[in-house]
Amino acid sequence: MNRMFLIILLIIGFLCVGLVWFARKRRRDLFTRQANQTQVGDERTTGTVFQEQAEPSEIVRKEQAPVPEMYPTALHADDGEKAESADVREVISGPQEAHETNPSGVQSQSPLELLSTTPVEEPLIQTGTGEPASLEHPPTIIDEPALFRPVLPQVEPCEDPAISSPATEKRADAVISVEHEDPNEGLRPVAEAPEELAKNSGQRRGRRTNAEDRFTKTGVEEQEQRSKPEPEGAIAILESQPATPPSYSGLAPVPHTVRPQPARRDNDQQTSSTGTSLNVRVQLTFDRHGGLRTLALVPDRRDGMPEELDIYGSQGELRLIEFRDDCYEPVPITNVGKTLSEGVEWRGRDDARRWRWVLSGRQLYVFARGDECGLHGFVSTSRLCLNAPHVILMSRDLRDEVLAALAKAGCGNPEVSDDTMPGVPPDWLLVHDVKPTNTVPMREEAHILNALCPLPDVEPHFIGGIRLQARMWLVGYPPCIRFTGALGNVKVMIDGQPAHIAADGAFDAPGWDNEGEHRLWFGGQSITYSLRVMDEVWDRWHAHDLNAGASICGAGINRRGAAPRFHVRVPAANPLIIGAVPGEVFHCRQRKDIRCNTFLSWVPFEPVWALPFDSAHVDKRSARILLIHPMEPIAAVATFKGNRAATLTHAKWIAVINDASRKQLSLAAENEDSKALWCRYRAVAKHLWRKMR
Amino acid sequence: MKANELLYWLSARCEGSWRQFRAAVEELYSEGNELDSENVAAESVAFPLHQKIRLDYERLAHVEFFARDCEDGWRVTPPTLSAHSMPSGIRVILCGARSSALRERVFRATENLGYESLSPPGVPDVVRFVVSDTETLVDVATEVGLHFQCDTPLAILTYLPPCDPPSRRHKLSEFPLGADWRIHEFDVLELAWRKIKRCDAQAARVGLFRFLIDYQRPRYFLRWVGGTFELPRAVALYVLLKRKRRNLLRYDATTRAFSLPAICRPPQLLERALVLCSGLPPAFDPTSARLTYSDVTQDIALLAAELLRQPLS
Repeated sequence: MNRMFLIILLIIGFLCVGLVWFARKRRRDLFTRQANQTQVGDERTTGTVFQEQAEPSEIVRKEQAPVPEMYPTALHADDGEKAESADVREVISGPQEAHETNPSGVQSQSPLELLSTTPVEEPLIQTGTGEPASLEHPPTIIDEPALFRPVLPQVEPCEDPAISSPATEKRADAVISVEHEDPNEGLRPVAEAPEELAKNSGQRRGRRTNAEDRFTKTGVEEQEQRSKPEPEGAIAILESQPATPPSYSGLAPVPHTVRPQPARRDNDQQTSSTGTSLNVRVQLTFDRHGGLRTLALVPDRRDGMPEELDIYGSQGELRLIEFRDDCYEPVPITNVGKTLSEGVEWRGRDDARRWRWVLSGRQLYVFARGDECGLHGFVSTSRLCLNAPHVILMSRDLRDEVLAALAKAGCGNPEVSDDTMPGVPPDWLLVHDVKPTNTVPMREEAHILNALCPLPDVEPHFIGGIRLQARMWLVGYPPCIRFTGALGNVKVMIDGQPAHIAADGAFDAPGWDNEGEHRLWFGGQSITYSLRVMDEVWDRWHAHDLNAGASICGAGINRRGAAPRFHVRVPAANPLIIGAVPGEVFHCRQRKDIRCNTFLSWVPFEPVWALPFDSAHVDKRSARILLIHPMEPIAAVATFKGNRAATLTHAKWIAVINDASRKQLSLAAENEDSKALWCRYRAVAKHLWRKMR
Repeated sequence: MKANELLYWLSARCEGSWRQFRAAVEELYSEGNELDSENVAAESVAFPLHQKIRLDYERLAHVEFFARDCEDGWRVTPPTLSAHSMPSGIRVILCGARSSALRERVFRATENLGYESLSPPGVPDVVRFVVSDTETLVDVATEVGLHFQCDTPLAILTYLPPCDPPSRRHKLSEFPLGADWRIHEFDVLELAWRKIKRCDAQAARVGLFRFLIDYQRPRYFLRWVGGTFELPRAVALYVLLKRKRRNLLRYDATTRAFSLPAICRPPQLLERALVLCSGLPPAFDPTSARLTYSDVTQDIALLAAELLRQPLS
C-alpha cells in the first residue's frame, strides 16, 4: 500500500516538473518570438530587465514589468528581500544613486523622462556568452559574481544578450550626429560630448545634464530610428563592420573670447568620465633630413579607462596601450592617404563601458608643435595660431586655395613638398614653415579653410623645462613662457613686474624663475606656475635580492642583516682574513660554482691580512701574505680562561700567524712598513701563545 | 641635453610608473629638433626610444626598472660613488640620482682629482674622477654626503648566478598556445634568429626559441634535453652557446677591452658590472656587430666570462 502511494506521489511529482518545464519553455518561445518581432526601441517600454541568476556568469532577463515600476521593485523590496538582495542593491548603482541623490525624482518620473535621464553612455553588462550587452535603461547589473543574488521570481535565460546594443549604438550615433552639426567644434566634433558629460557624470543619474538635454533634442530622430524594424543579426553587423567615420565639415566662426588654455589637459577633472566619443589626434614626426618619419594616430584616453584595450574599426583590430593619463600609445597609420581622407572610427569596450574614437575624414590637416601637449613632433590641431610654427598636410586639390589662405594669414612663402618626399602620401602635399602673422576673419559658414584663419586669441604656453607636476617645474629648468595670438598691446606681467620678450620669443621678468609660486598676467587673465628645488632624499632598498646574503641597488651592494661588516676584495689564494684583534679570523668561502682569481666577501671585522687557507702546506714559492689594511695589532687582550670558544678563536688567530711565519711566506708587497707590521703581528702571536700555554 | 634633464626629472620624482616614464621621455624628447634627440630618435626606429633609454639608465645604475619595490615602474637609485680599481688608481663614477647642486658639490670636492664629465650620446653625462686610495674616496664621499661602493663591478659579479642550464628543480614550462605567435629559433652558427614552425620547435631536443606576439614582450624558451623552460633571454642564450661550444668573448688585456657580439648581450646586471668599469655604455662596431666594454680589468673579464660560461680568448 505504502509502495503504491509512493509510486503515485512520484508520478505526480514528475508530472508537476514536466508542467513547470513546459510552461517555462512556452514562455521562452513566446519571448523569443517577441524579441524577434519587436524592435529594440519598443523593448524599453515593455520593460525588459536583466537579472542575474544564482549562476554568476549568466545574465537572465525578466520581462513584463515596465521600467518605471522596476525601480520601486528593486529598491524598495520587502525587508526580507532587502536582506537577501542587499548586494544586489549595491550593483543596481544607477537607480540607487538616483534614488539617493534625488529620491523623489526617480519614482515620479514618467517612462519617457527616465529614458531621457539615461546617460548617453550606458554601462554594459557581461552576458553569459561573454558578449557585453548594453543596457538601455536602469537597473544596471554588472557582472560581479559575488554580488549577484536573485531578486525577482520568474526569471528566464537571456537568449539574446546583446539585444539592446543596437539602440545604444544608435543613440550614440544620434548624439554624434548632432555634435557634427555643430561646426564650431573643429577637429573635435564629437569630443565635447563626453567632456560635458564628464563634468556632470557624478550627477548623471540624479538630474539631467547638458549632454542629456542635447540627447533629448534628438529624441525624435532616435525614435524614428528605433521604430524601424531591426533585422535579425543586426548586432553582429554593427559589431563586425566598422562604421564609416564622419566627414569633416569645417570650422565656423565662434565668439572671440580670451581664455587661458591649460598647458595640458587636466585629467583629474574627468575622473568620472566614461565618455563614449573620444578624439583621435594625428601625430607626425620628421627625420633629420626633414622627411616625414612617422605618421601616427593618438587616441584620447580618460581617467578610469583601461590601461590596455582591444578595439576594432577602420584599421581592423588593434590593442591600445596606455601612454599617458590623457592618451594611448600612438598607432602608426597604414595607408596614410586613405586614412586621412576618409577618417578613422574605432570602437572599444570593456565589461561595463564602451568607447568610440572618431577622426573625421578631411582633405586638410593643420599641425602644431606637440611639445605643448607633451608629444613628439607635430600634432593635429583645429586651426592656425598666430606666431606659432605649423605644418599643413593637404590634398593636392586644395593647393591653390590653401596657399592663398596662408598668404593672407601672413605665412610668407612656406615650403611645399609633394609625395616625392618620403612619407608624404600620394596626392597629398606637405607645407612646412607655416607661421601666421596676421589674423584673418573666418567665413560666416562652416568651411574647411577656416582652419587656416588664425584668430587673435591670446594663449599662454609653457614650453619645455623639467615639469614635475601640471604647473610645477624644477628650479634651474623653468619653461619658456610664450604666447600665441595677437598679443599686440596686451600687457604681460610676471609677479607684478612687466615681462620682457627675449630673443627667442619667450617672456621673462626679474625673478620669474626663482623658487616659489609665480603669477603670469596677460590681457586681464592670470595663471600661476611654480618652481621648486629637488629634495635630495633617496633611500636604498633591496632592488635585486640575489639570495646570497646581499642585494644590489644601482651601483651599491647592500648586505642583509644588521651587524656591520666590511667588504673585502679577497684573492682566491688568500681566503683567510685576520684582523688586528687576536681572535679575529675569518675564512672567506669562495663560490664553488665558478672559478675566479678574486672575489669579494663580507668580513665581520676590519681586515688587516689575507693569508692562504693552510699556510703550513702551501707552496712557499707562490703563496704570499697580503696586507689589506695596515693596522697595529692589539696585544693587550685578556685570555679567555673557561670560555672555550674564545680560546679557540684566539688559538686559531695565533696558529694562522705562526704557521705563515714558520713557513716563511713572503709578503705580497715587499716594503719596510709592511714587513715591520708583519713582524709585530708575529710578536704578538708568539706572546699570546706563550701566555695561553 | 635631454638625457641629463631626464635624469633630473627622475631624481626629482624619485619613483613612478612605467607610463610616467614613457610620457616623460616623450615630453622631453619632443621639444625642438635638437641634434641629440634627433640622433637618438633616428637610431630608435627599430627599437623604441623609451626602451633604449630605459636599458641605458639601468646599465649605468641610475634607475631600477621593474625591480623589487618598483615592480610596475621605476625607482631612482640613491647617488653612489662607484669605485673600480684600475692600474692607475681607483676610478670613481657618480651613479644614481643627481641634482644640479649635488653635481656641483662633487665637482668642487674632486676638482683636483682628475674630475671629468663626459657626454656620450643618449645617456646622462658621465661624471668620474680618479683617487689614489680608498681613504681619499671615503673623504670625498663624506664631504659630498654620498654612499660609496668599492670594487663595484667585482662586487656585482660576485653575487650573480652563472648562466647554467636549468636544474631539476627548475619549473617546466610549455610553449604558449595560439596561432598568432611568431616563433623564431636562435641559430648558434649564424648568431641570428630564424623563423620556424611550431611543430619544429616542439620537436627540437635542444634550442632557444623566441615567441613573439603583437603588443607583448617576447618570451624565450629553452628546450633542454626534451624539457621546455622559460628563461631570461641572455641566460638561455649563453646556456645554448656553451652547449654548442660557441666561444664568443674576446678580451684584449693591453687595451682592457672586453667584447662580445651585440646579439649576445649579457644579462642585465652582468652588463651593469661591465659598464661600471668605465662608466660608459659599450661601443658598437657596425662592421663586426660587436659591443666593446672598455677599462675592464682582467679579473673582471675572467669573472664575467666564468659567469657566462664562456672561455676568454
